[in-house]
Amino acid sequence: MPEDSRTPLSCAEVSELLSAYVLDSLEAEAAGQLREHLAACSDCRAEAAELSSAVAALAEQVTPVPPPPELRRRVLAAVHAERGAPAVPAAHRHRGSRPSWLGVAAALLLAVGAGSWGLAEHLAGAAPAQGASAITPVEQLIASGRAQVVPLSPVPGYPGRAALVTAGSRGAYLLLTGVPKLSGERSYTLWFLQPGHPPSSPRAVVEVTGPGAYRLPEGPEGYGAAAITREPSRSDRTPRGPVLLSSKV
Amino acid sequence: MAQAAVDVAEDEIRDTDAQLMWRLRAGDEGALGELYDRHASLAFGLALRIVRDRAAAEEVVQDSFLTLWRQAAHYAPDRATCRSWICTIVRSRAIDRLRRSASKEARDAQLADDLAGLCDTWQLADESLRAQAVHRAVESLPQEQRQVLELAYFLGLSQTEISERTGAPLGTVKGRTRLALQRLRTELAGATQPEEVER
Repeated sequence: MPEDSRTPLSCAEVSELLSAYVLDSLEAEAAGQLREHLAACSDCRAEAAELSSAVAALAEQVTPVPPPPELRRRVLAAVHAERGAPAVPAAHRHRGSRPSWLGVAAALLLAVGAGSWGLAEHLAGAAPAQGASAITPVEQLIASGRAQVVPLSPVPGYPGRAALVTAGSRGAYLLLTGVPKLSGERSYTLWFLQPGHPPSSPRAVVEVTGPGAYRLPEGPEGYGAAAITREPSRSDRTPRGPVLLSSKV
Repeated sequence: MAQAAVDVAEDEIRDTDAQLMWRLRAGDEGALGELYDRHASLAFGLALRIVRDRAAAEEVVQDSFLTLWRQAAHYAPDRATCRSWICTIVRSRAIDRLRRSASKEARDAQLADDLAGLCDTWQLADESLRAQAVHRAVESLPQEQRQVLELAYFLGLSQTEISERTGAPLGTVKGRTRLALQRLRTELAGATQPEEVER
């Protein structure tokens, strides 16, 4: 440690102390100096992140212990109280409850659009499922150089890919690939959302059941975000399923 | 038949933790319930391991999941898994509570228990592959390096406190801490880097 506490730490000194820091075992003064260094040094930040993941893994050594059943109710009640909403019995909560579209829209509008997904990947996934008659207009549209391709980002871990292809009066298409084919009443539903606070109710644009290229009745012009959910039933104008892919548009 | 198989698989797909975190960011309380169902046992086990009191551990878990709800927007999936993030929150809350409430005598008594039961602690591994990997990685550490990890992680002791209570010089404690965590990281990554010898 330098004798003068105001002396900035070097990367070598930080490296010596970083393990204790990520374990929260460093004395306050040294931790403060180290934080200052990390704020300005991306290499040491990366090192800290790697060591932190090793620290986090230590929790896996602990034997899991089921908490008392009433703790779940207390946790969810505390969240409800924080939101100022009336309490809902725990039994009424279940997977697939309706997402808060105010929050969804806000998150979408803040999200950075993913631009790394290649055009070839769009077409490779969509073409076999829908056939030449459906894909050809999209190919022509893209080949014309006048189309705009907006990839929709999958939620982390979701294997599906989707994009909107638009070219003004020449039409708009949804390309969807990498998703399982659905049966029964279930569908993948594309929603458009208006920008603004609070956002408008989402508009269901198209319902499909599997991979393919689909002509849309309208493009995303004038909307702020797009999202695809997996809906339990068709023709439901309210999104109820989990969001799978999304982007601002 | 093939279609039916696809549909069954689709039915069985549960949202991943990352998807649940996304729903949580969108204000979906149902996602918090699902995350609780998946991780509350590990969270409670970890809290109990640190604070050694069931009522206190329950408060830690409740506080931690409330924090998860409040801080969901700050979750960075590229930096930690959801499970790791939850454990980080639980450990932080539990250590805070331990530091606030435990008298020096109580912590010393707990320290004696920890030193005596060190090996047992590491043997209480979960059967999951991840836990086994961590278990193997921790077991590969020299005993004195495992000790400093134990004292820092589960008791929240500072480097100076570890030095005072184990009798090892402060510089040695710092060196052991560094070596232990670097080696643990290497082991968990499956890397085969040459070992650094403790100075």
